[in-house]
Amino acid sequence: MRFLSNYRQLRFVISRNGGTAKTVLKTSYDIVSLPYLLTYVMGQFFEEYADEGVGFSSSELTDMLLTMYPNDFAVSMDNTDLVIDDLETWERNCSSYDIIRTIGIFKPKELNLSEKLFCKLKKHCKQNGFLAVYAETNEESLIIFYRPKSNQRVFGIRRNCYSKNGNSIEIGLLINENTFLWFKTAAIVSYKNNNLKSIFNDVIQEINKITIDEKALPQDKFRNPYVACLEYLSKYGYSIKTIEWE
Amino acid sequence: MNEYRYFIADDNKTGTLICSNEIKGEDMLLLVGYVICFYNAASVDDIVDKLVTMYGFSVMKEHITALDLNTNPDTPYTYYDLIDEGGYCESDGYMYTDIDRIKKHFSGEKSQKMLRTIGRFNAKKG
Repeated sequence: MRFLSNYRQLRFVISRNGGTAKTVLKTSYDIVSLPYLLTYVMGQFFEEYADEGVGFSSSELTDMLLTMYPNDFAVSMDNTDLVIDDLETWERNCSSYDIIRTIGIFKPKELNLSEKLFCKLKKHCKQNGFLAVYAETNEESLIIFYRPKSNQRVFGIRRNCYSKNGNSIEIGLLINENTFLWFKTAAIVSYKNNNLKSIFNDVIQEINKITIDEKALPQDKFRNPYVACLEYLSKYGYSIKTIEWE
Repeated sequence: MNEYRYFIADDNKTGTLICSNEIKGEDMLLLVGYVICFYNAASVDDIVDKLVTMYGFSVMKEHITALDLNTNPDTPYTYYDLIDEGGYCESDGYMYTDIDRIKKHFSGEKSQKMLRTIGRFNAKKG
């Protein structure tokens, strides 16, 4: 369990329309500054998803705080001091969002190119009807994605930080060959520049090729894709991570 | 054009009536907090000086008491409290802006860090 350093911690839970998130958080923020931070996080989300009609629950907002500000928020096992309704907070402060969005201490740590790319890829997978899991080892980042039905193929996007081929992304499929689970690379996207949009478009093009392909072999399909995903991650020592806008 | 009026006062309920066409009540709480925190502005005069010179406010009436403000026919405005009303003010009113209450309101360590790093108010200086 993570402990925050501040001696006085506010414990709170996020609610919406009377329903509350399950997790009580403790924070180094005080009762005055916390609503401004919530407004900032919600505003950033609304900006990011402005044209896409994607929402979030109070539990997902709780997860966002834990992910974006690991030094300021942690899960608390104690009772809550305060219940904060996220939509009421937004309505009260949204007219000042143009000012709140410029508050320096609210800006989360800047992601590197690879992290940005994987966030964007994960978001794309989810928006196209796939469930997506992000996982890491010390050397690799991996997104596994699949349709949440039985008898589906399981896809992967992998990046090896120490690849001999330089900067590249592998796109592939999980294969179950005589009970041996492995990642079969279908395409490699190499990149030299740091243009996120261009790399993203190249990777998406390759993903589309393999996900739209109807000629899936029976052995490529998994009766329970989620279990296959967990088995693969466990077998190769990956840790599942939460990334931004989980 | 809207005119937002603020009576910047201290514990003695003496202060200066100022106005802005730009800074509405919801933003004013943050701005006064910022001016107090960032510039160490402690008195009504210090705060009014910063608001006028750096953020485009105009002085309407200096060094008056709350009683004068509320009874003088020259200032026929309705009273609204900046903190208690959450910055909400009708166009015929003024916002009572108690600098001592605002100092207390933002006295937490995180609140002060938050105020000091408001980029929008910093940019205004240029």
